[in-house]
Amino acid sequence: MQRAAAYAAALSLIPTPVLAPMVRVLNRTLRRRHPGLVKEFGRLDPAVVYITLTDVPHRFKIAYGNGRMDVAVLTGTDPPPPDAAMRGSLATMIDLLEGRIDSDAMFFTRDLQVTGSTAVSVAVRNTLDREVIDLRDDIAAAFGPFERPVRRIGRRLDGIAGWARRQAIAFHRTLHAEDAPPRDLAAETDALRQEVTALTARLAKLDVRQQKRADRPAVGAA
Amino acid sequence: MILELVCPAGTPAALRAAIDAGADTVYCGFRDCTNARNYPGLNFDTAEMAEGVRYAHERGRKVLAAVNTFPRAGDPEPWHRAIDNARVAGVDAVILADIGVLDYAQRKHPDLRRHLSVQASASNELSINWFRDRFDIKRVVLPRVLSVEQVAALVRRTGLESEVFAFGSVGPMSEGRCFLSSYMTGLSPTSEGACAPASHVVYKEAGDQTLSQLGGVTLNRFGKGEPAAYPTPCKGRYVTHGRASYLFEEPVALNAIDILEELRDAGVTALKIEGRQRSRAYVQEVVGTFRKALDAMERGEAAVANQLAAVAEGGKETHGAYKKGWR
Repeated sequence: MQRAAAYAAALSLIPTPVLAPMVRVLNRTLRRRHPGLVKEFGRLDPAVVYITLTDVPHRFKIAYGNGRMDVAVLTGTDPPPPDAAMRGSLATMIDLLEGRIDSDAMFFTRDLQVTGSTAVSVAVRNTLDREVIDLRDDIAAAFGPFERPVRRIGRRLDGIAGWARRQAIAFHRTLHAEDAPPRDLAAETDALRQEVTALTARLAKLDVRQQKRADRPAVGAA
Repeated sequence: MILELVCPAGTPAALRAAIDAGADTVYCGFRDCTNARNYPGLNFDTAEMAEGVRYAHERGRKVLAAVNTFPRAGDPEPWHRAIDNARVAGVDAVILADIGVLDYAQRKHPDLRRHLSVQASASNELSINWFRDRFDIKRVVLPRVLSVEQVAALVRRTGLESEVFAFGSVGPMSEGRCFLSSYMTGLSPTSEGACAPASHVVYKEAGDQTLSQLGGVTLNRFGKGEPAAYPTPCKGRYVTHGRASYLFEEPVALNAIDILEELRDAGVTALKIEGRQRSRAYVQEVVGTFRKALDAMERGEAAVANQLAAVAEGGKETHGAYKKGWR
């Protein structure tokens, strides 16, 4: 979730003309690193699926069939409508891609919305689920000889993203500390006093009951 | 007796996930209409199934092949091929429903273990014993229509291994005999292997609601934040007397995790997790949870907390017929 938030923030900053060639490189990397995935998409009936992210100002498409699989960024000139469309947050889509969540469960809770040909959506879902994908590994691999430094940078960015998130939460709390409702110490004291009185009375009753039981002769005693 | 955990796999990745999560046995099907989860992108070819069998056997687990639909008139070849391919892949047993397919399997591969699928809808000792005596089935998968007491009675009176559903979808209690969706799709759910074929399902946005349709018939409409159901006729919401309601079945999942001891004491051999059409994340979560629960039960420890509502249809769970009073 934290990683997805960092990705979403980064993706939002990248203009489409810059992102498009990056995704083309990633597409080539996916094809190279996941030949099984390409083979599986390639044996399906040809179709185009649009993916709309609810927290990122970019849309993507997956086109497959006839032995091919291509991922691309959608531009304003791409013709609608596709065969199917999926809509969800970047975190949901990454979790789905990496097989960490169940798409039916997402559908039941409406975190994932699907329109158009259900056969196409189901085929995409099932085909992706056949392959074990780690998007961070694939993105790092897309940098070729710079893969290892990119991995290091990625890990560092994850750490920074986590740190930044914790700082943001702390800062948010500090900012809004003054907005927190003032504690009514007098009311709290009254409530505690009442609770102590009730507990004292209950304790006294238990003492009396225990005393009576001790005074009673045992059953069968002479 | 230790209960065997039988788990679903729609893909080779799900098979490995199920084994790694603690499944004793995994069941799967071929990529065609010969199994009851015939969805695009799902299932195994023969090589993939053989590879899955190898993965399971190396870890001391088993693989079952479901060939549990009913052949179309004049076209038995896909079902015969599926049985032969299951044999080639080296599976530990085949799960069958149709008497013709059972007959073929028994004659062609007599040493290939046969289980009776839930699709055969055998729910009394007369029926089960006939399948046992005629086709030498070794295990019966019991329909989700029986109470725990009835399961115990059947186990005693048939002398067969029994497999019961522990988690998954709840249908209209007429397994292998339901034709509701064929009225909307023109396709037989028992021959085509899907009661809501993806090719006939459509979701439409209508204002702030989503409509689910099967074969052009609107089955349900969901508002924002409202849990959705599978687009099957039995889970449709229909309007009668001016009120929309789930007339046949609520969108709810069967979950027997807190009656495992009762099922074990009833003499059940194996617990079946439903969901070959679900993802490997579902498989990991449900199988892992049941593995922990079974291990805890065997050690005599306290029950494992049930945290499966998130993957349950409609976000709700039921004991189904195991605890129902109606008969």
